[in-house]
Amino acid sequence: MTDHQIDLWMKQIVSGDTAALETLYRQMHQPIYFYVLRLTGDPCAAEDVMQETFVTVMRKASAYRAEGKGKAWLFTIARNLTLDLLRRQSRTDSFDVLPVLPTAEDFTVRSDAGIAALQMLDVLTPKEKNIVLLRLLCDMTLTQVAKELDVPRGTVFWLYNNAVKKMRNQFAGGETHENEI
Amino acid sequence: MKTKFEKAFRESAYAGVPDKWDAIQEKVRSVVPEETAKKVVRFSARSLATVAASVTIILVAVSVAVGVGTRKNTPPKAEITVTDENGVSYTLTDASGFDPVTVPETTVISYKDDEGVVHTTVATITRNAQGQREEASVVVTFKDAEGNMQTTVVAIPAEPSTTARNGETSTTKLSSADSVPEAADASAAASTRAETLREVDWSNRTMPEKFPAVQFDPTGIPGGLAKEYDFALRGNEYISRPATLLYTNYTLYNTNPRTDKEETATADIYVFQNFSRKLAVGVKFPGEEKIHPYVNVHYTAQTLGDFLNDADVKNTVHFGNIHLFKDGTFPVNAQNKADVFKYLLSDISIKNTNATDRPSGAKVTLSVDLAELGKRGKVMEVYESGYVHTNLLGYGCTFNVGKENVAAFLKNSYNVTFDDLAKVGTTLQTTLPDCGGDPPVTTVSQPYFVEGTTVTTTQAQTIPE
Repeated sequence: MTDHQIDLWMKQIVSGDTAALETLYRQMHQPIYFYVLRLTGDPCAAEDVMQETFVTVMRKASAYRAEGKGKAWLFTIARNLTLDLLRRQSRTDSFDVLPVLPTAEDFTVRSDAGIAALQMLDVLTPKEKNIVLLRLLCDMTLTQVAKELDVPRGTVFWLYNNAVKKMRNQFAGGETHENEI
Repeated sequence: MKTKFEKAFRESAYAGVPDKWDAIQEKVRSVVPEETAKKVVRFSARSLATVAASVTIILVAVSVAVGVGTRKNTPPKAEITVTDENGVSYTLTDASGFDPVTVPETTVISYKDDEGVVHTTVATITRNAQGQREEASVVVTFKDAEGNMQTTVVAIPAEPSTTARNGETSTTKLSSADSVPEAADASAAASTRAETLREVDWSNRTMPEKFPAVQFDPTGIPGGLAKEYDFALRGNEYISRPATLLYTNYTLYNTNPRTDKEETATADIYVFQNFSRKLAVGVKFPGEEKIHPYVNVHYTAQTLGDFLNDADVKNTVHFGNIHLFKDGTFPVNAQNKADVFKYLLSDISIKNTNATDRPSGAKVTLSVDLAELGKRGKVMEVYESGYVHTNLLGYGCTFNVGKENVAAFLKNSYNVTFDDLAKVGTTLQTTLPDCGGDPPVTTVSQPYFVEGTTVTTTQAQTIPE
């Protein structure tokens, strides 16, 4: 799914088309769920914020400008709502939220495959886990991940490949080696 | 492009995400989309001809464009003419959609109000891995012709590419205001002369553009990796400083952003004479004669001595202006520069406080460059409390050089004291762009400048009583 598609759906949403909102939801609710989960480490909060994000999308739809930055806009809404939530819970006064990286146990999974998949994340270093979460589960490009984490794109690329190799090894039952980073 | 494994992983993980569509549907039934207050404040070239107040913003050190009124209530529109240091004016376009951006570096902006009074503020900008500005915004507050307080967001656009190449795509437009006629055709006329920012196709990029970052540990086993060594190209420049070959045929990685495909290349790694290898290494690509400086994005000096020695600062730094706020902006001459090193940067044993926050209190700001490493538009802030804070070499460094030394520097170089100057603080309740949240996100620490009832800051639009 591209930002261009989001631009089109947002146009339809502005004209009151809830089917477009549902399409957007179907495409983006999982990335947003994982994005919030990464920030809070709390599946309940992730569910609530994900839900509230789409309500906010509806409310703010007329303010949306089709500039090909749809995904970034959605993540910004989710991030701001998360910050509001955390602030209400007095967990932060700062705009810079430190990610609370979830473990497999933190996820509300409804399938064995899901549990197995998320357990793979536990072999990763926090930095790698961050990158994998953003890249694979939040569906960001490596460039967007680099921007989100303020890390050079080359570094993100390298760490991401390393992380996927580790996860593959884990999946295949092979040995994982300590990351030298 | 994701592999089979990556897709399977994602699908499995997604299977656990609860479906809340029913609940959302229930909620959105009662939601009425908000009318865009932003429509009221969005600028168009046509509106420029009809608005009343006039502000000239003179950007020091960077080109600048665009602005939008953002008062909390329906704001009267203000005419803004943005002029860069070369006297070139730009049209204004809507900047209200900027995300709150990180603020790794600052630059100083000064502008005149209707009465000709010069105000100064600090803008924050971000740079991409090649050292090009990406985007930034700054809020300036001023009195309009009727004496009402106005707040305006001024955005600093990305730096346009200088050369057009095949396969480029347009992402952002800038346009010159001197091309804008007064009548209704303004918009069209401006766009015909628009400069365009371009994303260059991979095949048309130079090698440094393809590989703007390198992970390399120049202090340990060559080719080894360590998290504290991420070198990024600054400014896509060459460097003529003598250099010694450290490692040959080192592999660099990057991703083609269009295809998401991994790309690799080999290059030779050099260290520079009189520059610490912890701070910068040189990269020479096959077939090229010159060496590109890549600067460690994680570098931070431990002591004032490190700061001075690691980049040969005494011989490489260039001071532009000193901004004494209410009193205006003055060039830094050779004597002033000598005073900086005499009073502020003399005790090499002073440790970097490594504070995550900037010092607070009154300050004056010097603009500094270290062109050899692509460090331009940096600042050195000198605080009344005795601290010197600078982002010259990347991460901010803060040194406590003593109140007496700071006072002596100001007295000897400019014959002023802090009591003579407008006060500048460092924190403020701010309102960020409208991206949701109830209540909106409102807190972020940014530098700001107070003069009377006017607050000027990087993201704020709060006017204290």
